[in-house]
Amino acid sequence: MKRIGILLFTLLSFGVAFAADLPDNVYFRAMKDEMQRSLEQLRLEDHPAPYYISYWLTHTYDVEIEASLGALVPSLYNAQDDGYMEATVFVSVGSDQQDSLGFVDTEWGYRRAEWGLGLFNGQTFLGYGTLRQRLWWLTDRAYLQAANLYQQKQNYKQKKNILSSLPDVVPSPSAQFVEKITPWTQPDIKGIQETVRQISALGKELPFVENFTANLLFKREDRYFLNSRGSFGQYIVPWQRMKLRVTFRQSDGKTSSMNYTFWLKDDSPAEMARARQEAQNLLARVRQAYAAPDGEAYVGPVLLKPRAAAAFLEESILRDLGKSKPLLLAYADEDKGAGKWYKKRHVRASTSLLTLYDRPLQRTFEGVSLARFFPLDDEGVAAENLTLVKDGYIQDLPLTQRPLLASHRSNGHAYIASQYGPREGLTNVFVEPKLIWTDQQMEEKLLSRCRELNLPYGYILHDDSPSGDLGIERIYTADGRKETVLNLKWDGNFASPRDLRNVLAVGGKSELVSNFSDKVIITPSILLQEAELVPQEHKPHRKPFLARPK
Amino acid sequence: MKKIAMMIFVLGGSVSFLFAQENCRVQREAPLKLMSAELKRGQKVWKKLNPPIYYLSYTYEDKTAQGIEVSQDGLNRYQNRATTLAVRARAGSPKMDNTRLLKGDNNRDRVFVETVEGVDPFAQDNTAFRMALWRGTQKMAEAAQEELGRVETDSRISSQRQDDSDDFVVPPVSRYCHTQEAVSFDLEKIGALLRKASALTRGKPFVQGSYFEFSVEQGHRYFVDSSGTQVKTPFLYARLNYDLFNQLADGSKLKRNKSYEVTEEGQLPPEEKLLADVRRSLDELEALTHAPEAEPITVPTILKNRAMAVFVHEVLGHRLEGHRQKQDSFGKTFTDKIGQPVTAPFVTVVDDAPLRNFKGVPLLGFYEYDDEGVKSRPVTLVENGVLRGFLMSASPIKGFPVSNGHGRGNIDKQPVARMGNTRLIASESVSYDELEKKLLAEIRSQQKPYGYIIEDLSGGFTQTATGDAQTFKLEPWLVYRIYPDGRKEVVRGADIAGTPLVSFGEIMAAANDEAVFNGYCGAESGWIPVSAISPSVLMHSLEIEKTAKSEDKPPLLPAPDSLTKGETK
Repeated sequence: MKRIGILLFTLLSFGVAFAADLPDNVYFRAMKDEMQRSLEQLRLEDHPAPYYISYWLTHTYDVEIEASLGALVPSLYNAQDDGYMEATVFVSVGSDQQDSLGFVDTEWGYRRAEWGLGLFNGQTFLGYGTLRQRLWWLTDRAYLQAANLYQQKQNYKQKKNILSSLPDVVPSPSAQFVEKITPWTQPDIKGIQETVRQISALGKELPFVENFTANLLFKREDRYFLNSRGSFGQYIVPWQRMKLRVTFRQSDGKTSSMNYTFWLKDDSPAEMARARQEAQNLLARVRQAYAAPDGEAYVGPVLLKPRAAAAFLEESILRDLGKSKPLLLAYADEDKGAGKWYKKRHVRASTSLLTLYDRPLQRTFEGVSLARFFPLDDEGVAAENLTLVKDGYIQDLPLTQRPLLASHRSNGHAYIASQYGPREGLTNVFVEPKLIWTDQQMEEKLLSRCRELNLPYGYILHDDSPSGDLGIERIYTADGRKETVLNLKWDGNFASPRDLRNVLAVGGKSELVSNFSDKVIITPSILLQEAELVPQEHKPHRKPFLARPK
Repeated sequence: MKKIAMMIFVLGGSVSFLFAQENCRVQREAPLKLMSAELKRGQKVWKKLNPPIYYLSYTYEDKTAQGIEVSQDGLNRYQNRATTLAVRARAGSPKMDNTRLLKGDNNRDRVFVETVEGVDPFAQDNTAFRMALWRGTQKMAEAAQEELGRVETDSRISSQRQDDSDDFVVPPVSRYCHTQEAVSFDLEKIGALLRKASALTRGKPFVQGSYFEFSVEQGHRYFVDSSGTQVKTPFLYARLNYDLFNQLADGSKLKRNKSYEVTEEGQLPPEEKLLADVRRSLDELEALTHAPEAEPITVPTILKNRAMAVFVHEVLGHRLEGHRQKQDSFGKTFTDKIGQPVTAPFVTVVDDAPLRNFKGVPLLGFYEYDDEGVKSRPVTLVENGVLRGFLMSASPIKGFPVSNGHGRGNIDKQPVARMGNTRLIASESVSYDELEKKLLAEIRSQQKPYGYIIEDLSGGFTQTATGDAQTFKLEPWLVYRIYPDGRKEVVRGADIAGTPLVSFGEIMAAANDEAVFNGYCGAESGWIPVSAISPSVLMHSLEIEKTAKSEDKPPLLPAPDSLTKGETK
């Protein structure tokens, strides 16, 4: 009886959703028609029909300009006007009580279809017929896999005697977010090309630089979502970034490379000037690194500048914080790291200096678009801003419709990652200090701690990699003088959850240091009470047979 | 494993592109100038190293690709320019250098070429190009010295080589400069044509998917080496093609396709012809959908011209590539058969790489200079049934000390001996109708229930290593069973398999209907464009076996495209 009730509810909400204000365009027409047909007709004999379908269509436009040592890289590949289209199809069979979700039957988790997912990643085929055709194929594949998984999941639960009083899904109310999609207009290609070319030419000024590449990407994603619970969304996410890559030969012959990425508001002259300044700053660091001394073993306080701080937070908490509920794995005893923070929600997780928020509804930071703006999640649930950590304790965890407790309610943080179906995910993570410190005060705090410990110097880490050739600075206790050191690395794992209680101060200017589709991190610097750095072994390097061309 | 993967259709009309003519000067070509200057800069240094870098070469490719794709009323256009610089270095001496194949090693983990993408010698500032040359040469010189050490050790600890020819013969110095203006195509017009053709697939339940495409790749290749060769040659590969697919409940995959190689827009098929071809392909796909499955059998068979062309390429051609006579891990099917009969006495096989077109069809296997800077030339492989020669790169073999201009490969691979335009010529032939009569007579004579006509195939592969079965396999898409009374029936799921010496000796008669198969061939030096030309041939006997099927279940619902208009909204 309950099953009939659920079915009625689904059909009802389905009908209501499609009768409502669904945007009238080719994307929604194709999604609606194929979804409707699939829900009504798609059925494998002796298997349950699909009871939930969701479609994401992402139309991406981009312009990518690259130059190396003063010459443009001759590729027009990404300068297409019509962009390209991706579709992500998700199908679940069974019912809310028992469905095909949350179970992985093979460690090859990247096989999307095993989660009942389908995706095409290709060129623009804008016609209704093309979209229908693609959605038909993907829905069919996703359904077959979902039906297979459903069966395997039931068998596995029976074999392992897994009983749960909780349903597999606790549905949330449907959500809608629709904004007008304006036509894509390309930025000033010629102007940008010249700027990028000039930036790349800066590398020619240093005789030990072997290559310097500037790559500028302007991108816009038009996203269209529809699911069979009545949720739909239509919105734009713009994204601009500059990536610099420098390869240089150190005075001892060793070749080093470094990537440095930052994000831009737009292609305005002010932003282009900022890009040029960032390139000059990077090359200044290269100049310092050219003949820098090797670092020595060190145990003491370390100041993590925003990029290093983000890497520290990712390792110590964020990676696992995004996995609130463990998946059922047929090939392993546990879903490593998942559920860890759920269990720790009543114990002290960090010093009280660190406050973490997750803000999917925030679109920009200092004018720069954030990649993880998510008004509704991948289950079509309205996303909510969360306080992740406050006063040293876990406050909120990202949740999907898969319940952790009987009183469960999704907070709109379902995310379809490349390997898995919808599971918990973080969006725009903000780190906020309890006390307001400037960058200078943070350095003074580091020095003061070093003095307390009678250390002649402390270390400042800049990079998001804990062993970068350019990323480590020594700061002397006596006079605050700084010098770049080379060949030093973090001893052992970069960071563990325990290190969160090792935070001495949080402050300085907040920076957007990671702005990717899986996670955005905005953080100031973090001062750790103690860290251990050790020298890196490296072999001597042969100098080039021929001198660099003039 | 080697594979030809695409088909082409015979097309009439004139060919105006790529008439070999030297029309520029190597001294004025920026890529040649910059590459030569870098070679000259290090000339003295390289030779003095221990071990010396005795030979260096640079290849630069500047390619523009554009095209238009149509599928179920959607359309995509693309255009891009891609440039690649390749650096190759040889350490040691021609007698023994770093490129020697190691005993029992497929050399998969060895580095012979350094490629750099995205550099532009024509840029206002050529620093990046010069730096890339310098970095690439340093890297390859280091790698070549290291590899030479492996080769020297290997030669000391391994069994004696059967063919102890040198590893390299420095090619003669060439200077050649041929520039070709880019050929333009009206993509709007071609797109409209493709959409019309694509519309024919709508409402057809036996079409699971379809794809119509026009693509052009054109540009120039520049080659210089340390002995002074400087070569610039153009290339153009333009093709209109379509694929129609279906899959049956038992997993059988069915396909009909066609392609038209062109060198200018005027050679594209007129609308009526393209639409007629698509209609015929649709009829064939529908017939295949309802066709019975082939059963394994050995029977007399006609390989229609283009199918036979692939047969020549796979069964004979790959086994006549020079380097396969040298390495002991290859089967060396024909190594010691020079001067001996290997097939019917009316059969001659040549590889005519300088041939630009055949009966109006542009040949993909045409080139002026090979990828080692050697001028291409026709090579007689089999003359009146007797084996006469091999395809040679600059890696000599016993009795064949120099290249004959067949050193080919992708820009990121080390060139080896490869085919260009491989052509089977029959000195005695009959009309095709007569050939079918001969087939029927042979079926009756052998008292077989039926014979086969292989109308069309997708490609095939051959295994040449001693560790493999040393067999070949051809994968037909369209096959007819022909009964002793002349009745024909389309069947699906038939592959052709066999061994080279037996199969090539099965040729009984040929028709006078030579045709071209244009495609791409994959081997150890990468995928390269090739052509094969042949008349239809009657084989005394060929072995037919079942084709592999997909394990995927066909879609449960019919394709939206196949529904009637009212249903698709």
